[in-house]
Amino acid sequence: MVKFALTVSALLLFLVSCSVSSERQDDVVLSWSEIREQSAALDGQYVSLCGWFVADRDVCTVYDSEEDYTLEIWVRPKSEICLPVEVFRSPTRSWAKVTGLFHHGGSYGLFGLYESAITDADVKLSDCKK
Amino acid sequence: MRGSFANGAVTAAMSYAFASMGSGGRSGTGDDVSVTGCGSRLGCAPDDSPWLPEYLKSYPGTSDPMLDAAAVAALTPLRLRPDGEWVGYIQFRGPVGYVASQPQFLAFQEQGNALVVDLSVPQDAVAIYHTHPAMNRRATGARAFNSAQNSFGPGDHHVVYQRGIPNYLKMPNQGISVLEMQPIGAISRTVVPPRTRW
Repeated sequence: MVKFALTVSALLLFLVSCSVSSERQDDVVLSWSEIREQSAALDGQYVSLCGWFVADRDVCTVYDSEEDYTLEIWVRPKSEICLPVEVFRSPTRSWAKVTGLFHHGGSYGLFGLYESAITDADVKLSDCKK
Repeated sequence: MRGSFANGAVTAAMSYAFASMGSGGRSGTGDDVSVTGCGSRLGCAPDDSPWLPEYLKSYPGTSDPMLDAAAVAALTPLRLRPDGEWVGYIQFRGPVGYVASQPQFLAFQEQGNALVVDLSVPQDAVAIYHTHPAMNRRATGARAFNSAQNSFGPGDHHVVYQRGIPNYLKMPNQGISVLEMQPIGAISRTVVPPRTRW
């Protein structure tokens, strides 16, 4: 009986730990205010957000706004959208849904100018702002 | 946009004060620092920069010959590559003068932790330097690609506005330019004229 209870407890513990693990969740899109307020807590978590994405020379960034942005996050996409061979042909400026591993509290991006970064990122250009 | 002239202004003032105290070649002051501006083949002599308007010459941080020399000394030996960029920064070390960090190569799509922390520029850095990628001339599309790398891009402006310090760049045409804050905004200036059409 005790053995059964221990087994069940271990199973429950395993299931709970799985539900809060850092797994990719594409369906839940965080707002920029949530990113701003919970940035420390989100460090190491997979996040998904909608922002103004720019891929240009030495820039691979998602912003909270197309103009007069207040928050910027360096992006390392899984695709080659930010590689120089791509951006010199066609720089990207578009709203996009960015999903990936969130980092905060360090110096990220070129010259370490960014306080936050999303790596291993899926960048889906779309009118997600609407 | 966050920006400040503080570093540049202090740098310029101090550099003029120490203009005659430069020492040559490589300095072994520890860490990753190795190259000083003075002692380079350009030396530390004042740069006349005839193409620069007089009102800009008088602005602190503008056309600082020692800082230019340090950047040129760091950038000149770097061989441009298609798969990444060389980056580094310059600090002011009192009587030693301007000291450039060892250049660090940042490969595109690099995996591992370097992917996240590309380069942390110390708060007391007075300038940064970097290269743009360049393809082998014989490669398909190299001409167009390299031409596109011969100027400052949005990311280059970003660092100048955010940190307020000059950003030196070596381009595929072998020229070296600097983007620096002026009263009217970020202005580029040629430090070493280009040697090739690309």
